[in-house]
Amino acid sequence: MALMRNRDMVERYFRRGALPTTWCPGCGLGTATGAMVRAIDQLGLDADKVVIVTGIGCSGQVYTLLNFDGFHGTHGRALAAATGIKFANPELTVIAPMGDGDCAAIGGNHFIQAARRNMDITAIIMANQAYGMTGGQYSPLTPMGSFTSTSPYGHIEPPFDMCALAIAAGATYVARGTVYHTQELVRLIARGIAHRGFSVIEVLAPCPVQFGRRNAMATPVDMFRQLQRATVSVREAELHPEAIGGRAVRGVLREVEGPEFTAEYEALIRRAKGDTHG
Amino acid sequence: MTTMVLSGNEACVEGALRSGVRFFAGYPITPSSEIAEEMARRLPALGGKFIQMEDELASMAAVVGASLAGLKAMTATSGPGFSLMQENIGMAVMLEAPCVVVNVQRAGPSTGWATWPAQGDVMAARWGTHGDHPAIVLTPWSVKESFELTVRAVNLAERLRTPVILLSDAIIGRLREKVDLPPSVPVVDRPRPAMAPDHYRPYAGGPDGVPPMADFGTGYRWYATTTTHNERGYPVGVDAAAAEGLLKRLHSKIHDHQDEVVLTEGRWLEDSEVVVVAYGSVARSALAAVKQARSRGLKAGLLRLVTLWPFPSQLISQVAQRIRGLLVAEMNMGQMVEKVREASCGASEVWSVARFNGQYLMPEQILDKLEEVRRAWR
Amino acid sequence: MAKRTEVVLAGLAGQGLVFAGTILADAVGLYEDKFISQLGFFSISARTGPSRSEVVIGDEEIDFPAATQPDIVVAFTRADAQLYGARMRPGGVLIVDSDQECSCLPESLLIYRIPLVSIARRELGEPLLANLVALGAMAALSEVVALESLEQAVASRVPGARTETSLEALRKGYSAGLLAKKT
Repeated sequence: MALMRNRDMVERYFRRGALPTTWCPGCGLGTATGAMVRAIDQLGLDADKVVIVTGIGCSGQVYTLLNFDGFHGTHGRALAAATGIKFANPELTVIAPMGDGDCAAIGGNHFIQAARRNMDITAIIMANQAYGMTGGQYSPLTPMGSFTSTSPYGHIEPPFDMCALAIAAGATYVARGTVYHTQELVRLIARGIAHRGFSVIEVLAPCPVQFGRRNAMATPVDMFRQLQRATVSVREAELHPEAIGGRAVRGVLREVEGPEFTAEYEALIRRAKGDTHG
Repeated sequence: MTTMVLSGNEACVEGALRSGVRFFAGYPITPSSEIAEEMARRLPALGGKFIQMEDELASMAAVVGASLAGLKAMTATSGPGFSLMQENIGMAVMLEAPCVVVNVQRAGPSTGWATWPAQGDVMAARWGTHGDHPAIVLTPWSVKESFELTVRAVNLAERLRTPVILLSDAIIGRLREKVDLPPSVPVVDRPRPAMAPDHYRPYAGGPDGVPPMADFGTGYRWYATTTTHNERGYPVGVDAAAAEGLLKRLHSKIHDHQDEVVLTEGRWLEDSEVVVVAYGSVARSALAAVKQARSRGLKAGLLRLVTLWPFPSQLISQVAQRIRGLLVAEMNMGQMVEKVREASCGASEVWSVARFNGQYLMPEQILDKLEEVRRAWR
Repeated sequence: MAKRTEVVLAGLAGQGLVFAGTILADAVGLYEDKFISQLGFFSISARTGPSRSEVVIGDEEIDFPAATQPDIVVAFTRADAQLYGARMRPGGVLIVDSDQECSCLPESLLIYRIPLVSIARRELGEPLLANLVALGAMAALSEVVALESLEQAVASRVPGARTETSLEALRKGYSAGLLAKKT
């Protein structure tokens, strides 16, 4: 399916006067946001019923661009708030774009609990491997040995594999994409939103200003090349597992049916009301 | 009327359900857990939603989320959990998300003494979350009032679009008493927008300072943001006037409705020389002590604070001008006494009787203090 | 002054003292049309440490809801008998489990030694029913509550299969109380 043109996307889904964004040149968040909006468009969702739930940080700006109901709360709590919104009104499509600091560090417990609970929420982790807004400090996704403003001698902690973590915690849809592979990313996000259950899409996105320039990737182009080189598609990985060589696998990594929380709760309500057919 | 014997915690649930609360998110903690348990049992049959979250941060965030999605939402906790909730109580203030937080106080600081009562959170209830923010805090002194003030808390939250804290304690939460529950209670719903979505300004206060609130998903497509925002809900950027206007409105919408918010109860204030100021479970001790004191010929009265915040400074000041001494009785090291001293502004003496060992402050201790005051005045 | 009666049920966690307080409060509050306040005091452990219920009964609204000088005390341990015995109003009724050896109790009290736990264990096969045995004995030894009210409270609060044994516990306690009164 051909992607919606930028002009149409902005016309239909962006708040008037929202552009330009506050993001730095070469930042991956614009592309990731665009992919999310295109996925919403492809699914033909009722825009009145879509709620974008964000946390704090660069990714926390996503809501200000879009013409949907938007929630921008405290750092790390996006998924907890999303849980309240979706549970209170299961008719809503709740999508939570978060940064890796927001989702994996301060919101880490909310993330694994949300994955376990399997409420129909779509979590989009915009993973740029650092805290952009606060000045490039290391995050739980910062690779060992890289340099950030708080690891001036090289980072000594291993990073999370967010997709493996999501799978282990019970998320029923888990995918990884990059902002370099845009068409694929739109498909991965659309499939995640359509999936009935907790969906996780990790989006590898460059942060040239805060991360790249400290790590020998001076320009956005260098960083996009890195995304291209450092990932491999699921299909390739299955055909040539010996050739993965430490690269991150792109594509749908898990997609299973599981008891969805709000549906289970509706059944619980019927039981509590004494409706034995429930 | 239905006559029942209920605990304060159970009465709180009754009040919440009758005033329309249909969402509860919480985390187990003594001595508040009965509220969550009762909610888990009762809500589903009413079509309401109950969820036990991973911690109090998440519970409070979920409550705020549910409130934005249109449900009347509540949580309950105690000291350590209350500390964790502070972050998102601030969020509720800033988003103007109506909700009720029940804190059944236990002895602290920190983990403290889980099953024993205290009133150590009166300042945390006012100033626990950071930044300049208003607070509404109500304290019940009986099971009946746990019911009534929960109803009031829910209604005030909806009316003024603000979190309201019901500050109970381990005595009142566990206390069982006979109550006559009315067949119905007054129910207030948040103001919802009457204008078309194109004309909706989610943070434009209108004449009473309270903006109408659209449920998420109803086509108004608005931003609920904790970032300092303008009337449209967009970040203020460099607009200092918009930032100042927001803060002023957050405060004035509560300050301007003090007559609806500030509740007190006075007994024998007219002929008293000394007035005991007390709140929550300790007001019960104070009432007993004042009765005994009067039977001994002491001109004592009782001023019970039902609303702790906003603080009834004006009333305290008026009372202080008529009498010789105020005696503040509380189960902490003396927190509200400082506020009373400030309000009395030297017009009367201010005495304190405080107990902070996890034990109920007994009438006898207040009576002893009243005698001490009498001796000092001889 | 309004009439005020204070009852303390004291023992160990796990002996059902908070529940006994609940039954007494329901009985007097709902079936005898008096005002009541009931408070449970316990520590964090469900099965160890001291535990007690305090029930205040009045003919008008109760100001202070906890016991200050108890009129009636049920003590399951020697320590409780001594602690609360010393605080009681002269002429008060102290019911002590007779398996507990207690001396030095105030002479101003009416002291009844009843094998509460033994009755529950031997005659009902369930030592945890000693709490209801104690309430039955209290009904026989004081004016504070009628056996019928306790029975009503138990019938409405104890579900299904356990109702009959629980009522039996009240009655056994009541008989033991009458016996103790005679001797």
